[in-house]
Amino acid sequence: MEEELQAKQPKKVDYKSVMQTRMNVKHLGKVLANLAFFVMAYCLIVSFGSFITTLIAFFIAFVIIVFMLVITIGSLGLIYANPNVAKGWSYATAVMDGNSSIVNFFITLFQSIPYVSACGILIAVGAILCLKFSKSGKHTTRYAFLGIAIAVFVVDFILAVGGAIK
Amino acid sequence: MNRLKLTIKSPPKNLCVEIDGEVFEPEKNDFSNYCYSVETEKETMKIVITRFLELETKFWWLWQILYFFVSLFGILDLKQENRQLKILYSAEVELNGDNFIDLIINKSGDKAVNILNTNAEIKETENKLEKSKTAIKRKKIIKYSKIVAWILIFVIVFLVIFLR
Repeated sequence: MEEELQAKQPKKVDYKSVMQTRMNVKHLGKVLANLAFFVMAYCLIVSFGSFITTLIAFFIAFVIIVFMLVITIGSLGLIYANPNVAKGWSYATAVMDGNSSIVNFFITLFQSIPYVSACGILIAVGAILCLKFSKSGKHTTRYAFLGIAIAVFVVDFILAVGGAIK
Repeated sequence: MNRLKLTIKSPPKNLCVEIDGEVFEPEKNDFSNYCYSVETEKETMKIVITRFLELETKFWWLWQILYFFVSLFGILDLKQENRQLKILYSAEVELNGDNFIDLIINKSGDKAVNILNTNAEIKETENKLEKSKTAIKRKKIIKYSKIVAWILIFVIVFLVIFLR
């Protein structure tokens, strides 16, 4: 009977170990709170940074598009205004070929106008997507789009310049 | 029946109060002081006040590893100041009806506890504030482990970036 009564009694809680575990869990909680604060601050900074980056991207895209448009229209104008180069851009390059290496460089660079223009458009699309996503607060996606746009532009630009040098 | 009301003003964290060998959980009052009220048939009562140190717990190394990784390799971890200060206080209290003890725990100095107000007779057997040798030793181990871990992290990052 006594054994049964003793078995029914609740086990004595070791408060020392409970308090020690609680202490460690509290520490972990504080570290997690620090981490949460850090992530929050990072998000805020990135959001602000992304806003600035978006503005810059828009500016770059605008400048590139305008620049490319001017060059394209100018080139087309040059081609069609001069009956001697009416055969097109290839004839123009043939005319200028051998005159100067710098001229050659620019000629080849102009030939890659569609690529660079495409890059400009990509950047503009990226920037628009960035702006769209910045409203929903998904900074990672926003940055990913911007990163892709810039990466494509940089790679294409390098290819274009590389082609021009060759 | 004798009663004792023990109030600890501005208590430090992780305080452990044992009254007659039993650990009591504190009740916080409006001024966030710790209050303990005990009833007993005995005429004397033994009070032991200690403080848990994180570096003296059972799985301290496991917790420290966890903190290290969760806190982004220790960058966001809490400061380790005064975590090796040990409170050693034990006293026998002679009870007579309703008794109260108001005490405060020192953060520095030789004495761990100062009694502010009481109507009971207290015989202190131990009252000192000392640095735990174990905690200091383990703190050093953590410090050196962190340095080694950081070196390893740099080596891994270097290998991943430059030797891929």
